[in-house]
Amino acid sequence: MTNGQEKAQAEAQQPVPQETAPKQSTSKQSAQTPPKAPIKAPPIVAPGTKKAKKDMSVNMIMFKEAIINYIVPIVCLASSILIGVLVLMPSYNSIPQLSADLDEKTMLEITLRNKLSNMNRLLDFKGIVEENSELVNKVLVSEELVPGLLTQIDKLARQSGLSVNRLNYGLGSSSSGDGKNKAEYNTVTVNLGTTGSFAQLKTFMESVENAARLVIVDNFRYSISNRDEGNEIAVNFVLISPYLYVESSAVTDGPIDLDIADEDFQILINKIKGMKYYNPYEIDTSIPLIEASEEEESEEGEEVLEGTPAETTEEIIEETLEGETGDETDETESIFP
Amino acid sequence: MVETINLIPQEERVQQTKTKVVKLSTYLAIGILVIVAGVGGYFFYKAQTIKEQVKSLDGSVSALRADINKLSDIEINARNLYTKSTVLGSIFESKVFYSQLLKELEASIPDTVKINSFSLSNDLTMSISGEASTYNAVQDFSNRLLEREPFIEVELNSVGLESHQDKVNFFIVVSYSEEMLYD
Repeated sequence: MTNGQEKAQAEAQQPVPQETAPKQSTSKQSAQTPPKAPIKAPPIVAPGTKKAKKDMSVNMIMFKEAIINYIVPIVCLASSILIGVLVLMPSYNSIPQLSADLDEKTMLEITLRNKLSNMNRLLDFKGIVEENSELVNKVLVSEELVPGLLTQIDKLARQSGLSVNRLNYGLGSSSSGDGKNKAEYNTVTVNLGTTGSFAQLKTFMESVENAARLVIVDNFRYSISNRDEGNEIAVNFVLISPYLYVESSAVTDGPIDLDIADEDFQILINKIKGMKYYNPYEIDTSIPLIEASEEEESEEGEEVLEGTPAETTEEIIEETLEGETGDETDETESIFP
Repeated sequence: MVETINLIPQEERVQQTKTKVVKLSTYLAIGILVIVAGVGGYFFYKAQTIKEQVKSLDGSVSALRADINKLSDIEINARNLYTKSTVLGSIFESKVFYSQLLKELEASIPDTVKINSFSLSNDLTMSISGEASTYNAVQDFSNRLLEREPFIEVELNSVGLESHQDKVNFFIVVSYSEEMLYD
């Protein structure tokens, strides 16, 4: 390889007048030439001449020899570029996405594994789950079931010794909790007017608080209605009973948050078990279903003794009694004939 | 001083340099190739490994999904129960037990005081009007209310003596803490 190159170089360095000189003398001359001799510009050679053809073939030989000399580095670099373009870069670029996929799939697998484990446990305690569902549905019913609710409240009032003289209802919605724990549900608001004693009021309040279906005392007020009959009091209640229709669907990839062994859940279930159940389908047909007008509904809870401080007690009592007990007598008749 | 004379011909020296350059570039190129191949191989292996892991997880996930789908009835039941129990828990947390308030109120009323009317306001206050035998009885009632846990503040809004009936009418506003009335 290097011999051919040497020859080509020697020929290239040969001056023009010595063009036809033998190769030996040429090499001798070039060997004798001092290294720092000025380089003469090559003469202009007309294309197509014999000389030009020879130059071209010399250049080609030089090029080929250069290629042959550097074949290994060239092949290596080309291979490096190929590997870089075809293997390294695609693999490198795909790794973040693949890693993200892997993390996602791993999380999903863990979720599903936990879910399956949880569901298998729920399957083992299927009876308990169904029992708990039934209990919860008794306290938080799925429909408004107004007749049953009014029957329950009327029964509670009468059992407590209060006499009911007004009972009507309205439908609405409410929420409890805040932020992430905010729970929204529908409500039946019941306005109840009764008369009785303070002790009976307390008993009724306890009964309501312990009743299933759930009834919440939103507001109440009382005033002396009849001093002659042992300080009988007229009590007005605003009661709220929540109901919620839930229709869940199976979400395969979603986790199940229910843990029947959870302490809070157990406390809740025990609390429900301690409540007194009233069958919502047991209806007292003698109780008419009177739906309160919106105005009445909103004013019912507001109409409290918020009079000006200057108002005398007598005036307040008179206003309260006139506004409540006066109208209630008629309604008592209409509700409970 | 000994002088050294380089007897190697110029062409030979050029040739030696060229040989060195070729050798060096060959080593360098091989080195680059080895590094690129190594790094490429590493990333390729890593990518393939991750792909295999993802594939394996896909299989596992599919199997788990199939198992879970078989239990869809249980899942629906559990979800319904969870939703309702969560709402119920939230309601119970904020449920005020007014029976407790009434008990505390009853325990605070002295014999000399009679409540004529009682009402709750939305701003966690209750308005009480009544009659007492003396001013001191009203004061005593206020003091006894403040001794009880749920009551925070008692504001005497009006008090008037009815001389012909020998009694004092009063109207007070009592602030209470709802938290004390939770279950």
